[in-house]
Amino acid sequence: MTDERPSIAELKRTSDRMTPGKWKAGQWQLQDVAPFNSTDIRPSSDEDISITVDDGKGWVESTSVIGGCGCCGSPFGSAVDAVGIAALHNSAPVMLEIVAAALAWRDSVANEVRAYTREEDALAMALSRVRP
Amino acid sequence: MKPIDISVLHNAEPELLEIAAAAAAMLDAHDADVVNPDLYHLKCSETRTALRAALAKVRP
Repeated sequence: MTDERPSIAELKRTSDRMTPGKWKAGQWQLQDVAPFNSTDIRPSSDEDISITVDDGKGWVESTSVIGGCGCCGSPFGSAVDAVGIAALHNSAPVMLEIVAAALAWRDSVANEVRAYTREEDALAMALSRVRP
Repeated sequence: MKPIDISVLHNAEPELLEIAAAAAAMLDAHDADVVNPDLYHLKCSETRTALRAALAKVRP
């Protein structure tokens, strides 16, 4: 029987592989895949593609903006999804740090009081980086 | 640029948020003023149990 619970280490590796920096929601189009206004702009494979985005200040090349396609909107998700995914991406490192600190706190309980206090302080420090 | 699969993060979001909320509640309970010692210890115990239950939903 496999353990299907999320692995914090695996999530951390995924988070580390993601484009660093703040992501934001916006519209984008795939260059060199299909002409603008095309109704079929899905890339045919994982080949290298160039992405430009409309971040409200104009179309700029970027890899850190996610959202609906500027041509037709639908194939790549909704604007609401994009806002949520960008927020999730931006908070992932802090969330994972909190969970790692909480796991260290839990595992320190059975050991010694000094370690317990140290891990609780580390958890408080991690939690200070978010608002309720 | 290859697509990045962030579905694992998206799928784990409820557990991560639950753990963060439980951890904050536990520390808040510990940091509270001790007006009634019995109530203080009960609250600390409850929030520690809740945090452990939330942590049981993930693997290290």
